[in-house]
Amino acid sequence: MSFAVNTNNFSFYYGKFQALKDLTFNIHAHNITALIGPSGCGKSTFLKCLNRINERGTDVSHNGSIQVFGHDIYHPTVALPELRKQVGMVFQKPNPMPLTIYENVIFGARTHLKKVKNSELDEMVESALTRVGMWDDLKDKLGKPGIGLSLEKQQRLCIARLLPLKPKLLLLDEPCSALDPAGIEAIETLIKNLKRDYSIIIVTHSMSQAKRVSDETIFMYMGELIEMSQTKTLFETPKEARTADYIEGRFG
Amino acid sequence: MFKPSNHLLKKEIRENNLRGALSLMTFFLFLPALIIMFWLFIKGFPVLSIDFLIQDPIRGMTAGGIFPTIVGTFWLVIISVIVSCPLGVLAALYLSEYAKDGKRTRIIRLAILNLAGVPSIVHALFGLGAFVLFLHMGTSILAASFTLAVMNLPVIITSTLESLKAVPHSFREASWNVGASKLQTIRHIVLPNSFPGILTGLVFAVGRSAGETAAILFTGVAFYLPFLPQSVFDQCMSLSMHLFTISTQVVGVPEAYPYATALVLILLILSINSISVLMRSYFRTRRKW
Repeated sequence: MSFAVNTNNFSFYYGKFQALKDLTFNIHAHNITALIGPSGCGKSTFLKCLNRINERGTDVSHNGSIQVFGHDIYHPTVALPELRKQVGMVFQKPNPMPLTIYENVIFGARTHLKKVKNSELDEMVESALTRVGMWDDLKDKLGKPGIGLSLEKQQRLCIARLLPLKPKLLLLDEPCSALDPAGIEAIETLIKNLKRDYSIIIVTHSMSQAKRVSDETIFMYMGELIEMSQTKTLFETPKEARTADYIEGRFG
Repeated sequence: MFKPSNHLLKKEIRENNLRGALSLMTFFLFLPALIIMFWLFIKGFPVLSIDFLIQDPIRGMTAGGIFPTIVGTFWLVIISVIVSCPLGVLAALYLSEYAKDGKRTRIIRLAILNLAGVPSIVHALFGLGAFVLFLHMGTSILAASFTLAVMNLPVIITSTLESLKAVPHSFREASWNVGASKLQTIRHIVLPNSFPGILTGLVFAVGRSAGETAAILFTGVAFYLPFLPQSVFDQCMSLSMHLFTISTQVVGVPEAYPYATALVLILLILSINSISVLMRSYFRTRRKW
């Protein structure tokens, strides 16, 4: 099995504050990997490093390296738009753009392709919305604003807009924290469905969610990797005391 | 069971007193505007007519109309807008979308705030030194407009920055996240959504410069000119300056003339400002978020 992400002694700093400490681990491709840990443990920071979305306007620096599918993403020749095209992120709060549903889905494609035929765009929209299970619902409402949808559908739309770019890795930053139980179930089902075609890393606060959806789980604490193993193993027989304390709810 | 206690009754009285006092303050704020308009209208009414707007001043500005001053104000405002709008909007775009939040950016922001606090007469002296003398524009419409533009820049930058900030950060993040460049994000996400606010700020700045007197005093405006400006290198008259002249500098001007001039000036500014208000409410109903 190949790896989606390899990190090698990776440290990350906001100004002088060290948010990530010496991370070295590998994440399998075509897997769902859950990142868990108490607030401020660096799991979101790590996720944001993977498509370098956290570099704007603030003073950041790093040590060590991260490879995504074998390519160093901090190499000087890396073009951020290209990286972000292949490593897409879904945010905690659904953030459709203030455009129609149709334009939301193809926004990325439009920014990357010079000339696209309308028929190609139509196809992209249909296949992306079908993939997230909304085509039948929305095929007559493509001209409506994406912000008018329910939160769960907005979140699906946010996933759908990544798909026309044919990303390899999807990063989900607590994608369900704004949703109700029915919405959570729907999104989780969708995530499991997407696993066939994409490698997925999901940050979550909910341990039951990590158990339900992920193949492997990483527990982080204070910017360090504490434990990483098969989800079942980690939750049933954690090796580290801190992992056990966290998953049993004794802190965090 | 639910009867108010004495303490509660006292609280209610205090509440009512305060509300009364605050609404009275608001009324006093509104009153001068009303009185000014009313008074100008009553006093200026005798000479107000279409002729007053389209005739030249005659007999040493003691009779006739104010046509050249309207033309002059028009030129000054238009040219200053052409200069200051692109500069101001682009500078604001840089500050909001590109500049990193460091010491340099903070100094620039501070400088802009300070520029907004510079009295207009000081701007006039700056214009005299920089545009009239140093750049050899002479006292001309061009020099006066540039001075107005410099004066308007901080206002435009500040209002544009506010409008840009009002576009939620999550929109930008979403756009970068699908690999859009900064320019693409600005073009497709930031500008379309902040455009109404930017425009409103610009129109408001136009209204402000229409009434400005001191800044154009030494830089391009004449007390009286027997002809209309032929090019931007000529001097011109302006409504605000004309008002000052016929109120204080010329003997024998009938009382109604300054009032009518002031009324025209105020109506002009009010109508520009109401365009800005109308635009804002129009765009607000169409906002998608």
